[in-house]
Amino acid sequence: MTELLGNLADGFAVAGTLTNILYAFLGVLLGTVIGVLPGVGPMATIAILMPMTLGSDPTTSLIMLAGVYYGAQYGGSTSAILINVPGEVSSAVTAIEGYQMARRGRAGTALAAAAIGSFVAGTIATIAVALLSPPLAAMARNFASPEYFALMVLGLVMAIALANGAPLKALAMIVLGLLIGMVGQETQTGRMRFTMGFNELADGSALFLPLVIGFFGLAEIYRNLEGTGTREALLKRVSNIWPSRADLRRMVAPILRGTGLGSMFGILPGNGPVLASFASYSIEKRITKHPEEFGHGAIEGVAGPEAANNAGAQTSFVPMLTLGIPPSPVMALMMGAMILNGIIPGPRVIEENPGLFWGLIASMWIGNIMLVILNLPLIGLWVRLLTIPYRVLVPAIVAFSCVGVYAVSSNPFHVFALTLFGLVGYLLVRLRCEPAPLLLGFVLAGPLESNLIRSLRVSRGDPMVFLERPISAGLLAVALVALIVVLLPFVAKKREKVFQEEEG
Amino acid sequence: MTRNRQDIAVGVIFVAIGLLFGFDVWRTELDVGTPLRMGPGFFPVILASVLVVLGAAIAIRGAIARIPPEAFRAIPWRGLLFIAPLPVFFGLTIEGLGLVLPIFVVAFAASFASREVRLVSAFATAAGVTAFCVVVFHTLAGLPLPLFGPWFDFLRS
Amino acid sequence: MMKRLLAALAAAATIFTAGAATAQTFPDRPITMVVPFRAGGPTDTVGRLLSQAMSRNLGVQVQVQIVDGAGGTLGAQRVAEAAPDGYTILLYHVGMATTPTLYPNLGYDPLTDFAEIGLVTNVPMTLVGRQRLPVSTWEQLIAYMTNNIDRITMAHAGIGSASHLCAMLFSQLTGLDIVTVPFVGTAEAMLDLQADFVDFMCDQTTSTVAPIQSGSVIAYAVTSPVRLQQIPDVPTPAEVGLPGFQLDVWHGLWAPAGTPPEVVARLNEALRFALTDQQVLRTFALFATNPSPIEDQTPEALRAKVASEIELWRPLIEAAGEFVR
Repeated sequence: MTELLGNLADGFAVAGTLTNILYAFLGVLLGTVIGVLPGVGPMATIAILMPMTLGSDPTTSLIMLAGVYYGAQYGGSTSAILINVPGEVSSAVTAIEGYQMARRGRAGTALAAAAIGSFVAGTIATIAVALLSPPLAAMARNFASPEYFALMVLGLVMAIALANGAPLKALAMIVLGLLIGMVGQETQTGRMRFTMGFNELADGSALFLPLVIGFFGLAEIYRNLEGTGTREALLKRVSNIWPSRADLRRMVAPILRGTGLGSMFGILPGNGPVLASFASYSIEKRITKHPEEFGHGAIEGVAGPEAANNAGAQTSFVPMLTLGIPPSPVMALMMGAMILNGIIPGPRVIEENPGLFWGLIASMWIGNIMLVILNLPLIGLWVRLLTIPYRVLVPAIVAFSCVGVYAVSSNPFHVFALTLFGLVGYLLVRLRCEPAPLLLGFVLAGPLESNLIRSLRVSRGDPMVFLERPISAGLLAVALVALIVVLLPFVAKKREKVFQEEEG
Repeated sequence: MTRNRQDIAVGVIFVAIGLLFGFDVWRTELDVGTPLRMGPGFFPVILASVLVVLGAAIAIRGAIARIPPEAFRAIPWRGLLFIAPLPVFFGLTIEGLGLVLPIFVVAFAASFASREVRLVSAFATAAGVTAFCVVVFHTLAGLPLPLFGPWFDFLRS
Repeated sequence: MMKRLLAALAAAATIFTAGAATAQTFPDRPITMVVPFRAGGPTDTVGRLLSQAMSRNLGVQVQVQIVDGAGGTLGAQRVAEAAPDGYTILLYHVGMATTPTLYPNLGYDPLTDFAEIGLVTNVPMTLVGRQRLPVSTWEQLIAYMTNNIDRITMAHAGIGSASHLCAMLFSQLTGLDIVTVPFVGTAEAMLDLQADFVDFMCDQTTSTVAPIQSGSVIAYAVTSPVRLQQIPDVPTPAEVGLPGFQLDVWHGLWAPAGTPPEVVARLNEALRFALTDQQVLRTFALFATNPSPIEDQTPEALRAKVASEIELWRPLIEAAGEFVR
């Protein structure tokens, strides 16, 4: 313990220098801004900034790039809440309740809930990273293809709970998401699937951005244009910007649960933070005392997932720093940044570059404080953004979406996809199918299939491989229990209804 | 007994999408393989079949449901007409025209999705959005695209 | 760092005044270096190092643009179709020579649709196994593989990846038909290897030096003719009696065909400058990545390399029968 405190003190000494604080601030500021704008994700920004950091002190440049990353996680939820355009998958969960809160004039409260949730989670996760790096990393090393497969099955089961409508429709949306996720080049044989002969669609995962913007952003615009062709400004109904005491009390437990989930899932390669925020939402929805509010702006559904997302974003540094294994594309990029600066990520980073390791961890906490200081006063400004008349907001969103999608992949086909996904998304949303489960299905499609194929290839086709390994067997058992829990109330309600009808 | 037309429509759409994917597996001769040695067509065929079954279930449930469907909401023809084609236009012209014109045209045209649009304000909005995008994507993010693309080269020589 | 940021902004601003490119004024605006693989991967790392040093020599920003997908062919296609003015160049690896066989419907010809600038690097590969394998020497390895041929697996980073080529070469030389397991990128494969799930992998030193040094994987051989100073205990193919097991992942730099020779020469000069840059070399050395020998940093050497490697890989790939339709 004293050793840990000593290490953290050293870390704060490194992170607390004027230069490093300045660059941490620059990073989170830049991250927040790009997170708010749909299209320019942290991937693109870090990739662009990376060469500029060459030659400067590696610790400083990593602190700044890390700031961009978690700043973007933060900014992504802002646009999800305000205009229903999540910057990335994990913010898609925030959009469910956050946007509903905004529509009911509680945008300020939602933003504050997200900010507070993120900050608390960031603080706890910083301690978790410092304390648990070695054991956490060891745990992640027991995960191979069968475990990832089991984990994703669990994630998909939980996604059914995301929908506020019929579970059957949610299930269908998940399957549709999985199918859309099959588009592109298959990894085992390299065959093209569902590309209609266009090699430009080979990288199917790049369809993610058009899918999100189409199903969430554009579909929402069409929906708003259903009426008179104008949308009343949301601010007219803004009641109070800051969360009330009751709101705060309702946030505590979800934030803590979300932080726990996020810290655990974050270290697991393969969309850890994403699964964590989906899991958090499912759990909150299941155990809430206000089930009637879910789907109509429940604050627990914002605070919990945001905490999970932010905690996960921080602990995802652990496998990269301690094992040299990047759990996500962004971490792969961060690893590239370390390599460019002449540091080989791996077990020896802690010993050989303690200043970098502990400095980075300490800077995460400093960055989180900056984010809160930066964002709480901005909430008033963001909320005022909603008073922008729709005839200005719509052209801006449409134009940003087009440029953003093109900027990420430099591929016109992904811009074309915006049109298709916008129309299909609008049609399905109009017919009361919710887009969030579809998104999770899409993200997990590729990994789900390839981990299944790999597992069966290694076991020579024997499905027992999933049950012989304790962790994957355990995860599958949890998934089974979760499935029963999710479907039970549905079955029970059905029965109730039948009884009532018989009596009546 | 009232039918829930919404659910029937959803079901039919899911069935149609499932069949479409299934058809493409067959059309492109994706190898299905066996459960022991899965081919690239294996997983898609399972998913497409599940989607067809789920779609049928939703449609049947809609046909016998006792929940009345919601009131019909107007279809936003104007919005769809003015917004849906814009990404296609953008994708087709971005590499030829460069950044400025496609952004301007998209923002300008999208203004007309709203009925209360006025020409002057649409123009001003489009100009503002274009300037903002150029600063963010071109100057700051360094998107490697010229402001005016190769289709303007004839003006340069 | 701030200076670099300002330099980037200044370079971006020059676009406003850009006129038609002529060889005399080349370069007068930023150059785009297309990297056809995922950001953060080995090729991206080489590209970012290279682009920085080249920017300093050329006086304009060389920007890396990721255009990944379909084994790198999408990015190559883009450069093949770009204006031949030297402002769009391609960094690609051995895939330039293997994709013509792997992709029968390739939309370009590696030899006629490009103007070569020069060879950049070559990276040796290493055959590694999971930590808990009960074998440490080459003889034990071959015996173990032979006895457990129906159980062992070899991971690779995807069809046509360098690790896949290396696996094909190994199988052909030893006659052992090992089941391969495809991953997306070597980082993913390394996860399953370190979790003791797959048994072997052949990967570039860029990603194996660190785990070998820390002992989380066992190395059996390098594919270079001499031992590497970063991992001096690992034997060469000749030492283990499999002299044919030599390959390296080379990177080259290309412009579209029809680029004026003066422009190509200018880019070549910048490339040569970058390959003498101390920081570039230091970082290369960390991963046993070698800059190409000076005599190979030429358009002619790159052209010869592509031509000979196409013929080298064609029979191997055809024998393995793995194509992309």
